[in-house]
Amino acid sequence: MNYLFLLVLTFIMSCQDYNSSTSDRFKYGPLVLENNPQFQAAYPVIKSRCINCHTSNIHDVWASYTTSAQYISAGLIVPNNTDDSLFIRYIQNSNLSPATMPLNAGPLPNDEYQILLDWINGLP
Amino acid sequence: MNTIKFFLIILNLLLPLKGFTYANFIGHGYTSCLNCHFNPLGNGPLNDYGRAVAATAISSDAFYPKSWNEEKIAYTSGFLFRKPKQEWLRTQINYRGFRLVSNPNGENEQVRWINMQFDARLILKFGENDKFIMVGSYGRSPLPDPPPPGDDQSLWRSREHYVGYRFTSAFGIYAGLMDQAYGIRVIEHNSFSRTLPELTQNDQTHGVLLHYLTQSFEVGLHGHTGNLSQEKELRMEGGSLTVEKTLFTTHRLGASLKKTGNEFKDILSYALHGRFNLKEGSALLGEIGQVKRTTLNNADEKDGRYGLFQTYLRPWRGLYIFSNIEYVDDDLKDENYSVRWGPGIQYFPIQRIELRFDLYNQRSFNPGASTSDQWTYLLQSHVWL
Repeated sequence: MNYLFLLVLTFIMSCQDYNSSTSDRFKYGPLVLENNPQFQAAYPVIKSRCINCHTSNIHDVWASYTTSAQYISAGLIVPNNTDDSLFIRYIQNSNLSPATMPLNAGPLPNDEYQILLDWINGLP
Repeated sequence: MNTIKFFLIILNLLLPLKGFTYANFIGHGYTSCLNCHFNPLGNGPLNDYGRAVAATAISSDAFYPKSWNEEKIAYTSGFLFRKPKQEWLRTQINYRGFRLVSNPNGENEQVRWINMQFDARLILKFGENDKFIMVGSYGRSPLPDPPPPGDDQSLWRSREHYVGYRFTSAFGIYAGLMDQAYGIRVIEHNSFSRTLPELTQNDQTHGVLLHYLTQSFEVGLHGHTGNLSQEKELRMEGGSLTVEKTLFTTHRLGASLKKTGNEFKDILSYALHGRFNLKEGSALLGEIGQVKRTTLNNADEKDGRYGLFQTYLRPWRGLYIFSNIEYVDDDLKDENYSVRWGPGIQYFPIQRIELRFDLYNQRSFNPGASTSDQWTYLLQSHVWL
């Protein structure tokens, strides 16, 4: 019975702990965003256009990024430099390479794209 | 008992996965997954009969000496090609890896090798017709890149561990960490239609499954407590039900319902599915479903819809040519939807080896625009011992 106990313990202590709900707190819970009006304006655009995919269970976890600093440290944006920001280069509106995002839709509306540019250009 | 000790050590040393199930094997006449799997609804470790079927009816016999008959091939289907020395213990090791190429030959070509599954499985079984079973798997499986929030996600995990008891051949109870009882359990780890009802390769739940099986009916009623290794607020608690009816002795028509939720969202999902035997190993599979997702924080509701259709044709033993069509619309209000389709080849040159090629084309559509073709191909190898 000791072996049986060890066996059960081995499995229980090593449960699969990552699944489709792992990021729910960030995707659906109340968020505390960085106190930066331009980021707060950009966040709804990012959430509606990017986070839906970039927080799936096989993809990035942008839903957990609630500050500009997290986007910078993830290598996604370069402050005050949209051309060198990977985040912008990937958006179809940028006409920069690779300009493939959003993958499952057409280009962003111009006003939404401009909000993203304003956010990055406004960062010191 | 030294054998148990040995495998406990191995379990802690070996790398992992998830087991896969081949729902298309209804084309070989197997309407119920219980014929070949310990889990009555499929997936996870194979029983002795399932291993023998995989070695004979499924795999090619081209590389065996001509003097080997089916009985001799089946005889070598045990762990490490050996006939089990006892009735109460079974072990299995699985590896699955693939080369994934996105946008081949394009400006943004991306090539990756992914070790998708490397796991060891242990089954203890006792009683007449193995009426009492204990099943566990442990191994290594990949995390997203970059990893999800929190620092407690491990590459080493158990994706299933449960006990089961069959009171009769028709009725059994299973308790522990298992796949959810819902719809068709497809083998494609990247099946994007499974994301909407949250039935991906990582979405096992602890709970209790009641399983009832007759020649014409199969029912799985599954109470979910969520994944107990997660924080309580994230656990998807609720239940699911799947029912299948046998048609004309060889086909199955089914329906599923799932209602689960945590502190952030509720999901109500329902689906119809069919598995049709096209004879000689060929099969047609289909599932359509609808999912209502309610975000509790702001009472936002989204109705989504998905479809999954697969055809498997077996031109000769060991080889399957298949096609895969998936459709997902995660919000019916915005009229955007995505479609992915593609052909593939699955080859079992010899027992314990599966080679597979998948080609995918994905496009998304909305009233104003649609994306250009996104091509992906995947070269996969799967080995089981």
